[in-house]
Amino acid sequence: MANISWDGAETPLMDIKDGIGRVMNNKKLYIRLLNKFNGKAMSDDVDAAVKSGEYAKITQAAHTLKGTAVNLGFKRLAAISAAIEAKAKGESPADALVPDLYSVLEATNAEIRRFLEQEG
Amino acid sequence: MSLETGRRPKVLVVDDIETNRIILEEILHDYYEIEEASDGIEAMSKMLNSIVKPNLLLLDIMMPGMDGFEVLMLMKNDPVLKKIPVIFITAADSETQGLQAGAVDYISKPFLPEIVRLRVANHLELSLYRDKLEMMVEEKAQELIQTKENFLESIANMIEYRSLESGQHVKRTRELARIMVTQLLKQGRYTQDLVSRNYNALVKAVPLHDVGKIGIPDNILLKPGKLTPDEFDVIKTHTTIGGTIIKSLMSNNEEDDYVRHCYDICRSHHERWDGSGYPDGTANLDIPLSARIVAVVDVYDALVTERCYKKAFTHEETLDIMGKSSGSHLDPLLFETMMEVKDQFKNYEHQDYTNNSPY
Repeated sequence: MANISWDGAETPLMDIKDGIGRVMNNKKLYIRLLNKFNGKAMSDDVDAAVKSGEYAKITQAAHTLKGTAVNLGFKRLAAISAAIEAKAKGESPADALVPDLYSVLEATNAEIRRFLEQEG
Repeated sequence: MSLETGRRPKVLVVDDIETNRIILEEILHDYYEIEEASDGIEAMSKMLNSIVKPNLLLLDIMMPGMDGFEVLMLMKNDPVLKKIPVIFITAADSETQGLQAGAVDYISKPFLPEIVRLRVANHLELSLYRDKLEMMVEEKAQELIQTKENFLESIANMIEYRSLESGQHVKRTRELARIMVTQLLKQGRYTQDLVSRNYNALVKAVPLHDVGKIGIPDNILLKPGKLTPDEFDVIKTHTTIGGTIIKSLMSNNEEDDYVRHCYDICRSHHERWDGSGYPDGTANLDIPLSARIVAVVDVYDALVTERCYKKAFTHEETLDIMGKSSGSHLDPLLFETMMEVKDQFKNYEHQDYTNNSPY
C-alpha cells in the first residue's frame, strides 16, 4: 500500500453525479453537504501533521480528508489524500505532496462554487 | 426483539466525520431509528447509558481518541453489548483486521447506498434469528431443569409410599426448614450463604433428604424396636445412596442450585457439628448449611412423632433433648434460631398433610 503513486492528471477532479447518488439522489442534501464541506480546515490539519513529522497524526488527518472527499465524489482530492495517507503509513515523508494537496483543494473548491451557483 | 415489538430497529452510526454520518442517516432513516456518535467514547457512553440498546452499529475504524477497534474490544467484554452486531466502516485495506476483531461485516468508503442498506438489513435479520435461537435454547435448558426437579420430587413421593410412618415427615421438614430460613434471614445469619445459593431451592430440596432409603431393605427400614450395629450400618448407607442417586442426575458443571442442594442434603444431613457424624465425618462450617438445617428439623420432627422404634416426645421434652446436643450434634447458631421460632415449630408438630399425601 505504501507505494501508491500520485498522478494528478489521471484522476478526474469530481464526479458530482456519483456524490449525489451517495445520498440517494437527494440533491438538496448534497448541496447542504457541499456547503458544510470545509476542505481548508482538513487540509490545514494535514499540513500541520506533516510539519510535526508524526506519521500517526499524518495518517489520521489524511484519512479524515480522504473519507470525506470520497463520499462527496471529490475524486482527485480523495486520491491525493490517499497518497499522503499511504506515505505516512509507510513512514516516509509526505512533504512533497502538500503543495499538490492545496492545488487540488483549490480546484475542488472552485468546482463546488461553480456547481452551487449553477444550482442557485 | 425490537422487530417483534413493532418498534423500528435502532442503528448507531459512529463516525468522526459529520458528512459520513449525514450520508448514512440519509441512506437508512426511512427504515431505522438512527442515533449518532462522533467518536468512540461518545459511542460507548451512549450504548452503556441507553435503556433501549442499538440493534446494530455502523462503526468507523479510524477516529481520533478511541478508535473503532477499541470500541469493539470494549463491547466484546460487556455481556449485553457483545451481542450487538457491528459493521465496520472501513477503507478496503483493513477488512481482514476488522473481521478478525469480531465485526460481522464491513462497508467501505465510498458508500454504495444499496449495499449499505442490504448489509444492515441482513445482519439485523441474522441477529434477530440468533436471539430467537438463544431464547429457544434457554427455554429447553429450563425444561430440562424442570424435568430433573419433577423426577426428584417423584422419588421423594415414592419414599413416602414405602416408609409409611414418615409420609408426613418429609413434607413437615420442608415447612420447618422454611421457618428456619426465614428466621435466619430476618436475623442476618448465614445471609451470604443463603442468598448466593438460592434459599428457595434449599427449602424445596429438603423433602429429598431421605431419598437414599429407597436402597434400604424393608426388614431393616421398617423394623420395630432397636437395630443391631450391623443393621444400623446398613441404615447409615442411605446418605451415600442418596448422594449417588442425585449425582447420577448432575452434569459435570451442575449449576442448578436445587440439584446441588439435594446432593448436599442427601449426603450430609447426618453429619454432626463436632465431626462425629456420618458418612464423611465433616465438622462445623464444612458441613453444607442446607444439611445443617435439615439436621435440626429432621431431629425435631423425628422426636415429636411416633416411629416404628420409639414413642413420641412432647414439644418441650424435644427442645430439652436437642438443647443438650447443641454444639455437639447440632450447629449452635441454628439451635438458637430454632428456639426463637419454637412456637411456630409447635404449630407444625401435628400438622397433617393427608390432603396432599399420595394415599
